[in-house]
Amino acid sequence: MQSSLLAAVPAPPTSFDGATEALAVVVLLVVFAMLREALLRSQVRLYAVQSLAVSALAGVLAASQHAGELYVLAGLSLVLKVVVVPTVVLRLLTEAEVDLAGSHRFGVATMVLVGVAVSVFGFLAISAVHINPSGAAGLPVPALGAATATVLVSFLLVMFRADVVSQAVGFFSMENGVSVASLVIAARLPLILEIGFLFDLLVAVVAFGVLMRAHHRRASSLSTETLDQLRG
Amino acid sequence: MRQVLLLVALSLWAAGAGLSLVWSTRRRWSRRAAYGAAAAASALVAVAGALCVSGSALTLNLGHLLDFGQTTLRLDQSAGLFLTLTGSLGVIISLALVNWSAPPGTAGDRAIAPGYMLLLASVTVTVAAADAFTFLFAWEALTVSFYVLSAATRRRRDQPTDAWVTAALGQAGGAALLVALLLLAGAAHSFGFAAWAGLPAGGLHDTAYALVVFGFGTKVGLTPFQVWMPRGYPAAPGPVRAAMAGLAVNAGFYGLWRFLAILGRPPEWLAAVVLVLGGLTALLGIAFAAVQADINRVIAYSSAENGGIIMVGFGLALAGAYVGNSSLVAVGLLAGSLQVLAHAVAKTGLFLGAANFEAGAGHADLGRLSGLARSQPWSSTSFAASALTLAGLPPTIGFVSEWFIFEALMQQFRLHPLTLRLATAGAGALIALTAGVAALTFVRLLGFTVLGRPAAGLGPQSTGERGALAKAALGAVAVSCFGLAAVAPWVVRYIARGLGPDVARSVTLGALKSPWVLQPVFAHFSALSTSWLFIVMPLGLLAVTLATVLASRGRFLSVRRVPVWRSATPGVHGEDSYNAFAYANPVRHVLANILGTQKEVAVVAADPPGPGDVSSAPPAQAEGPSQAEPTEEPHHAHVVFKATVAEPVESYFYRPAIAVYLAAVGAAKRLQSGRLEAYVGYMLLALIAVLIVAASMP
Amino acid sequence: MQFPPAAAQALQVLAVLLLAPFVSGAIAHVEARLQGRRGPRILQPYYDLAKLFRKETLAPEGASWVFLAAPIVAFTSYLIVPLLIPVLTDFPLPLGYMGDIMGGGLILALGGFAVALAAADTGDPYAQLGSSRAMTFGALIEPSVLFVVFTVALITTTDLPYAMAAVDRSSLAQAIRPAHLFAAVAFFLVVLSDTGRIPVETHASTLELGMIEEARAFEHSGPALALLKWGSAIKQLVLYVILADVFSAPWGLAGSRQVGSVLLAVPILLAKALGVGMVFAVIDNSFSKLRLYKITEFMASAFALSAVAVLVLYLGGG
Repeated sequence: MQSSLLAAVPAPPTSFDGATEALAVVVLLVVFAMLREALLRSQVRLYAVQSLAVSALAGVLAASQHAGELYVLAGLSLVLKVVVVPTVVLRLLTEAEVDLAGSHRFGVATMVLVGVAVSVFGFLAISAVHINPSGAAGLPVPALGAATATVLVSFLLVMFRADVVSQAVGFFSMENGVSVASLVIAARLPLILEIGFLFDLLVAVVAFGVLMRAHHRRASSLSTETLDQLRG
Repeated sequence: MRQVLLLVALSLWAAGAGLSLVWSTRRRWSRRAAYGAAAAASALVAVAGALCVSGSALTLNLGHLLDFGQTTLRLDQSAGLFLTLTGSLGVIISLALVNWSAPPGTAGDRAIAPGYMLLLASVTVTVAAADAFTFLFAWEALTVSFYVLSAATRRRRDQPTDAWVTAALGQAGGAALLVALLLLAGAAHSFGFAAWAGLPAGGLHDTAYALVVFGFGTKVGLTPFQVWMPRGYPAAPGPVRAAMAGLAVNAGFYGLWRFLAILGRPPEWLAAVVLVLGGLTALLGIAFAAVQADINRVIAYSSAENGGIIMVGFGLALAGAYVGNSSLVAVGLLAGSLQVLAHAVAKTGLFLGAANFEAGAGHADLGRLSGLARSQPWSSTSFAASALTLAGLPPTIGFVSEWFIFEALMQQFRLHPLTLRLATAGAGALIALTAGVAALTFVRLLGFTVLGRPAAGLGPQSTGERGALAKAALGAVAVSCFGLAAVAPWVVRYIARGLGPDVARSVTLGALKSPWVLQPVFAHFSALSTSWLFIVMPLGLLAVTLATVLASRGRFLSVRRVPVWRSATPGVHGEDSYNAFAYANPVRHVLANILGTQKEVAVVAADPPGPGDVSSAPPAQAEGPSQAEPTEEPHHAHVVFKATVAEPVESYFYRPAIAVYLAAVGAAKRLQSGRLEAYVGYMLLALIAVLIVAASMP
Repeated sequence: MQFPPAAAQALQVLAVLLLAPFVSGAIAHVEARLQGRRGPRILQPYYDLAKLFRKETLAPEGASWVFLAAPIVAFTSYLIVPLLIPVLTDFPLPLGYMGDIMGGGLILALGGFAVALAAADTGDPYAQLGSSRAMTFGALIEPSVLFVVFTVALITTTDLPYAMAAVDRSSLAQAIRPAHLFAAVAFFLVVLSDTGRIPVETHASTLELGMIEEARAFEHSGPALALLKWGSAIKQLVLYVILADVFSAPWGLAGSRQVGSVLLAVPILLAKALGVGMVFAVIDNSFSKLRLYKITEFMASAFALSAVAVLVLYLGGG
């Protein structure tokens, strides 16, 4: 009986592939959670969780491909994205004394369903593109699909949410999506390039910090609804 | 033999139509004679269908009857399957009509019986036709009969519009079919269906395929063509709605099944589009059914829902044909056919029951019907059995068909192009949501009509409830809803024969795991046995009842009646109490995106509201239901809560399309200057254009 | 010594029937403890049922026989499902062919339909309100259920609960593959919603206007109410069993009809159900109930999770 039940069952992915996919999907699911989160501080913490998943992904790839420099990258991104960036943004929020994001432009369920639709498109597009695997092992297409979907849903986050923090976090999580994609496509991308990406992120944090402070000082809110009234 | 039966049936219908034209069916003897003849003819068709399914195909050559080449009828197994269904339902509906007469004061009831006979005859000929012109002739006759029936009883002012919408969309579908069949005939140089089978794949084949699917799609209510259903069905009189929604719609499904066999492998995009549109149709249909205030409109929208579900089954068959997996074709068509059967039987039961409710109460407002099980037990039983069937609950035939639809959808992992997989998954999500909303819709439909405390002023029992023949018809529907599920393996065997032209019988019979156990054609996937369920469920019910009675020492059976709990307040009564309108409120809220819900709360300073307020409110308009709910306020002011819904295809498809059309008409008017020179000029231009075309021909 | 197949099957039903109130009682007890209360006895549900069976039956004026038949229909349909799923044995028993995951789901739906219909029949606004809400939110979770079953079909190429459990057992790689984990979490959310737990519903609330499923039974009393309460405990245990034995921990089932191993499976079943129940109790105490129309957010999250599981499998991974 057992054997007949299991006759046609396809093989599961190897544990490294499985872990890669699982972490990539977690990165995607965190963006969905960001679509919903109303508390600004929790939004930042979600970003920290997402970054943690990205760092873990780098660690898993380092272990599976025996690439020492990836450990360095994992450590760097752990320090920067999980600790430094969230801390900086949380401190900015403490100064601004705003806790709650304003109402969303659409219902949460609608946003999530649109997100699912966009993710489907991301997965479909990746399945249509045949990229040659760079490493010895086959390319984990699902992880790449999840990374693409992460970038697309992050766009939705920036579009649909009308507060500075969510928009900033949206941009940051877009960067996380790109990191996942670059990690799974070309894990041995020169370390210097990856560090360059991280540096870009720092610049973005500084820019957002300046914007947030300036905007909050003038409008005493973090909503972007009134941003178009800012003039010279 | 079969051809004789069909000929006799057609003559009987013609005789019935003639009789009822001369003597109105308002007279009892005339009604009995006309509908009796219709019932007899339907019985003959059912027998002919059974002979077709069990026998081999028979081609009848009628010569140059219609003056367009050979007129041929072909009585094969596919035709037989649908003839059986048409005949059996024809018998049931005709019997119900014997005991039903149009409410007094309706004009045009003389057209009902001839229109009904025309409908039966044209469905029969459509199913038997084997060449383009016979087929189109019968199809157009069907559209005409729909127009006649939906315009037959002019009681409401908006009814002519409803009939026109029905006819216009019927014509649009007919036009698509005409173009498709002409394209195919042009490519094959023959009007006979048999000659089209070997047409090569390509642009022409694909265009014709798509036109055929959308042509039949208008009849079965594929979105965005479903808008005629909630208008056309309720506009028709009483039991005739059952003939339109339960019986005639099957001609559309027959056409799809037939052309899948003729045209073979579809383009990939068509399968994907049909899957997604089918799912959308189902969800839109049931979402609007859930919030309607008029019982007939609820049932009509549920027709669109079922059309969508069946189209999903057909879409899977198309996908199977595309990837060349005949088992997938078999499971898709089997699921679709079972749903066709379940829907046909249950829709007949719902509309027959609703006709009697309406005749008894004098209106069809869900908010004011209640407790009908006491005054109209036969109609209520048939209505309830049908509602359970369409809710897909065990152990009805609707459960079997819904199970097959879901199992067919689960075969998505056998489809290779990712597009088709995703389309199947999308359709699956939509159908799952549909099934959930359908359960709500039918709780609402049953809970506020058949069940509940009898409303005051319900009126007398309708005549359709009293006659012996009508009782037999209602009983037959109720028994079929459950009985067909008990013998589901035999139903599957019958359908497997009927699907012969599409997919080999041996493949479809893979759906039988063992004589009593069903599986979704693919072996070792899963199993279902409604026959066993029919043994286990009654035994379980009996055991639980006995145990309860014993454990409670008989207290379970001695019931004391008490008033309901209203939080220790006097509560609200009569018109203001919780009703069907309120029951639909959560759906209106959570599905606001597709329902386009608009809410309005206003405090109206007025006289103390009486029960007349609600009834004097305008009835449900074309854009959706609206109902005023007056609630007493301290200063005799009352709060009116209104919620309206709007069909997205009307707001975003038809309105803009009509605006563009009117603008085009306005532009064309300028050409009509009325001056002779201008017209001669147009003719010159036309002549030059023709010459250019002629000269450029190779 | 072996059980005859019919006896093993009857034992599955009996185990679910008798253990269900215990599991409910244990969860209520633990919940109370987590809130710093002493809480009711673990066996309290049995006493409640015994008391209710001794009470007289009341029915609202104007309600029909459907009102009294509904608890029986619901109870019976919840009891049929243990015939179809792996409760004690890891191989299908004879009547297991009566239905698969989908068939079982539709049979559970029959129970919900009957209760909702009875509530609509009462004419009590609160019961009708609950009936309407329960059906609406029940509909919204359906797509997630279907997608969870889709992942089962993609992983095992069948739709049989026994096959999914066997695949999970076959290797650790199968048990921890991402798609399986995501589907299990999505099903966990489905169970949360179907058993009327926080964040969807506060099951111990007494506020009529905040109720969903609880309100449906407002007019029932005496033996009918006992059947409904017992029925929902059975439904809860059935869902826990599916969650444990099909998705998350399909170990500890009897591999044969040996009397010893089948009987041993009973305490293991209880332990697993209690384990699942504890997780639910902790969740009940750590989150707050969502506002009524915010429940759609919960449903959308469950759907996103199951959809992602399916998508990953579609791309050949997971």
